Amino acid sequence: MTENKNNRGFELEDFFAATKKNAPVASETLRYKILKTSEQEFHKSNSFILKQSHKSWWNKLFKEFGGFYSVAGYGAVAAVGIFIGFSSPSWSKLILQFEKKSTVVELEFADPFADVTLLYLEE
Amino acid sequence: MKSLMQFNELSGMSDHALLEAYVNGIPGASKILTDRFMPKIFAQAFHRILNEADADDITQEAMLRLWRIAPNWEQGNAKISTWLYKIVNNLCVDRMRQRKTEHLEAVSEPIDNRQNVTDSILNKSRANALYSALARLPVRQREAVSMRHLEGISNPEIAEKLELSIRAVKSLIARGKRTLSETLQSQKSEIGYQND
Repeated sequence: MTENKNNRGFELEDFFAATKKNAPVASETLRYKILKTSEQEFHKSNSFILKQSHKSWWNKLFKEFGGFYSVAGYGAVAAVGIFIGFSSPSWSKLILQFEKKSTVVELEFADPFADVTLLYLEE
Repeated sequence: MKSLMQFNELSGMSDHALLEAYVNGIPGASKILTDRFMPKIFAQAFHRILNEADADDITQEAMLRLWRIAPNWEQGNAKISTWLYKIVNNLCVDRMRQRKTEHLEAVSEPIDNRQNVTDSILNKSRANALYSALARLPVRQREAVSMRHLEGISNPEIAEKLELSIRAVKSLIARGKRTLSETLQSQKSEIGYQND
């Protein structure tokens, strides 16, 4: 009973209460600083969004096509296609001439022992 | 009148909605978010690192991170309070690694001027004793007890932050308090209790 009474005097809650009473609270200066940074960050992100929206139409298109290398590839293919489409017919004649010149020479190798076999037959 | 109405409207909004309002430039949203989170963050930081200046820095840093992530915050993400809890925890760990100073030396002076000198000394010695006993608890027990009894966070909220069941949180707190009682009992005379 005596121990219970003593323990009742020793309440953990007293320690929590004392600690809370002793702990500092966030100051007004801190609140002011936080609000100031909130404004700064808001303006930063807003100007970033504005910049993004200015260049967004071509940026999006660029990304849609798969980036720089992809767009460069498309460009090269398009340039060749346009060239073929608009080049004069003489160009195609030139190509034909080139093809004729570069005909493959077929070599027929004679059998060096053909006559030898004939000689044996004659004997 | 209009701004008062808007302020009242904003006060009733959820944390997510307020963050969205902040991103959309609605005035007052950041003030309400600050008032909601700043005291909790500060208390959490202070009870972890026991240094007011560091708690100030950590609170500011955590809120700065919130403003920065705001435009990319998605509804499906964790609760803002849980996210902030983790950020503050990490910042506290970083700060403690940096400083590696003795916690007890850094306990702030009492701020309640109404307390008389004896009370003030008694409170301070009890606070120091509690912090010292808390420091000896396993991390999870310390966090749970600190959140429940020093920061005033509810059990379901603690469970969410520590990613545990409510039952597990209750058990952690009970075990933590038992150990604290035992530790503090042994220092009775030093902290203003008479040994009978």
